[in-house]
Amino acid sequence: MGGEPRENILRLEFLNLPANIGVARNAIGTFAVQIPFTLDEVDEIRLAVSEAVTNAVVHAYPGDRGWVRVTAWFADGALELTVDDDGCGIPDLAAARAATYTTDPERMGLGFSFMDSFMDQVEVRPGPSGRGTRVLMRKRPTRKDGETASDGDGPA
Amino acid sequence: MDFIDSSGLSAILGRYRRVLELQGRMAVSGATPRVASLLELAGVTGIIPLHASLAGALAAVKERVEGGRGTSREHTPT
Repeated sequence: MGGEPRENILRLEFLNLPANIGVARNAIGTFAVQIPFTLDEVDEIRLAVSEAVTNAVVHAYPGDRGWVRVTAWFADGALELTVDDDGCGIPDLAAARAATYTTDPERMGLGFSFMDSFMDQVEVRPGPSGRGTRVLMRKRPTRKDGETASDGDGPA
Repeated sequence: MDFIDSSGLSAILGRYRRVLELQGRMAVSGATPRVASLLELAGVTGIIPLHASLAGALAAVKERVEGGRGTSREHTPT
C-alpha cells in the first residue's frame, strides 16, 4: 500500500462513438477512486464525465467521425477534468449552459445542469486550437483524512 | 440499474411519452439510491413512480391502468 499519489495525470483519446462514453466514464471513475473521493463523489464525477463526453459524441461532429480527448489531472488536492473536441463548436455558449437548452427534441438538455450540480466548477469555452469545444471541470474531495472510497464506505 | 445520466433520462421519458400515447402507465423498479436521487432531482419521480421490486411496479401499473380506464369511461361523453 503506497498510499494515494499526490499528483497524477490520465489522458484518453477516442473516436466519437457512443460505446466510448461508458469507457471514458469508467476510466475516469477508476482514476478518481485513488484520490480520496467518497463513493458518492466518484459517482458524481462519473456522471459529469458522461454528460460532457456525450455532448462531444452527439453534437461535435454532425454526421462525421472525430476525436474526443479527456484529461484527468489530480494535483494540489483537486481533480481537474477537461473534455475536448475539434468539432463544430457551440454557437451560443451562454444559451447552451441554460437548463433544458437542447438542439434535439428527443433529448432533455440537462447535461450542463448535471455537470454544474455535481462538480465544484464548470467552464465551457472554444477549444484551445480555436476549433471545437473545451469543457473544464474541477472538484475537490470533501474528505480530508485520506480515507478513500476504495477503503470502504465510511467508518465502521 | 446502477447508473443513469441525462441520456438515460431522455430514454425513459421517451418511453413515457409513447406509453401515454397508448394510454398505458409506467413505473420504474430496481433503481439504486444514486439513480433514484437523480430521477428525483430531474423531477421524473413526480410522473413515473419508483418501486423497490419489479412485482411492486407491475402491481401498481396494473392498478393504475384499471383505475384510469374506469375514470376515462366516466368522463367519456355520450
